[in-house]
Formats: sequence, C-alpha cells, structure tokens
Amino acid sequence: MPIIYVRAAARDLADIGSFIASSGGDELAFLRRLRLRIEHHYEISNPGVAGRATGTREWLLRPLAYLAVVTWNAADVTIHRVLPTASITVPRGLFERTPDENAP
Amino acid sequence: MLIGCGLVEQIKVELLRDLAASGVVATAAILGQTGGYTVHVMVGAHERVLVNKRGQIRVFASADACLNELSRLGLTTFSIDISGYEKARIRSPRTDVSDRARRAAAALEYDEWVRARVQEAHSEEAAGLSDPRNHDDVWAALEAAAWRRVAESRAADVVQPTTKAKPRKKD
Repeated sequence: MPIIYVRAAARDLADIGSFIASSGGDELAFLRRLRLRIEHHYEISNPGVAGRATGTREWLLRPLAYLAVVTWNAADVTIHRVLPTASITVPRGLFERTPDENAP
Repeated sequence: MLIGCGLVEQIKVELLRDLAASGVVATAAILGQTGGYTVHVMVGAHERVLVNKRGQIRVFASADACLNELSRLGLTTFSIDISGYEKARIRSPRTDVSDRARRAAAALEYDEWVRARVQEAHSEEAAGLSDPRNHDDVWAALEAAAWRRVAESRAADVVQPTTKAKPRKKD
C-alpha cells in the first residue's frame, strides 16, 4: 500500500500508543482503529481538507480525535504527522522533544 | 429653569445636533446616575434628556464618553452634577463574548501548534532525516511494541502479589 510515513509521523504513532498504554487504555485496539481509519481514507482517495501548514492536507481520523497531516503525490500519500485534534487537550510533554531526541 | 427638576422630554442625537448648531440650546448638563451619566439640555423652556435610537435614555458609562459626545454635538459649555452618581454596572457582563474570545484564542493557538509540528517534520525531511517507511512496516513495528508492553505489564502483574495474606489469629 503506497502510504509513506516520514520519521515524525511514525514517531507520533509510537507516542500515541505509549500514551494510550500509560493512561490505561487498550493500546492495541486503539492502534488498530487508527490504522483502519488511515487505510479507509487512502482507499477512498480522500483528498482531505486544506491543511493549516502550506501545501498539506488533513485527514480527520474520526472518532479518534486525531488528524493526519498528509500530502498527495499522484496515487501515493505521504503522512507527515499524526496529531491530536483541538477537541482534546494535548498532554504535556507529548509531541514535544528535546534536540537530542530528534537526533538520528 | 433648573435642569434636573420638572418634566423631562426626550431628544435624539440628530435633533440635538441640529438644535445645538442653530443655537437654541440654552444650557446643557451632565447628571450623574446609578451606573453612569446622562445628558440633559434646556431647549426653550423644556428640559430634554438625550435618548438613543430606540428611545431609551442614553447612559454613558464614563464622564469621558459623555464629554466626547457633547463635544461632537458642538455643546462646549455645560454643567456637571455628580451628586446622584453611584458606581454600578450599566449592563450585565457579557460572558458569552469572553467565552467566544477564549475559544478563538485557543483555536489560533492550536493552529500555530499544528503548523510548528508540521514545520518540525519538514525540517527533518529537508535535513535528509525523514527516513520514509511504508505502511506495513510502520504498523508491524507499532504492534510489536504494543505487544511487548502488554507482555511486560503481564509479567509485572505476576511478580507483584495482588493481595497480602492476613496473619491468622492464634486461639
């Protein structure tokens, strides 16, 4: 499936998983639902809504309160970030990284 | 005739402006009220109070606003009587407006936050650190990590006893 995740997006998904696990949720079930939402958007070739960042589009991964920042290139889609929507409070520290953590 | 005593008629701002321009306004006064100030004028032998377009007495929240209005109307000489002034709110506070402003500020803040996160990703990509991975690999890694965490938590549950055995009483 030509869905490409850049490093930041893969990192976001891992952060979401550990956040769900640490808050006592069913991480596996949540991640599977998130995956299905992403696959669904891709399968229906959803162009998404205009993104806040220039040149990007956004898929709303309802009802999971997350959004994916994507760019389409012909039939391929690149996911740049997977972020919480404004309807939930971003947990302090989640998605914020020190320069060391960003190092390859 | 003294302003503030006797029968008071109403006057709208447009008419007062015309009357002031034609010089028929004898005297003007600012009277303090509960929560603000009102403008009274003597036109001929009649005292009139300034009202708004809906015919309600216009109450200015501050003396400054009142002075500005009189100045705009061309009334430069007037008296001020603040003996009846009492500090109070003219209108009830608009909590809906402040709520709306708070929500708008939060939305703007969120937009900025999203832009910054996307910029972060673009910067990594520009620096050649994007490390693109395909869908199946990413989700396989995520599931493996999730299973690992599940196994770790199960192992921790086995090691930690859930209940403490109570010592039996000796007879």
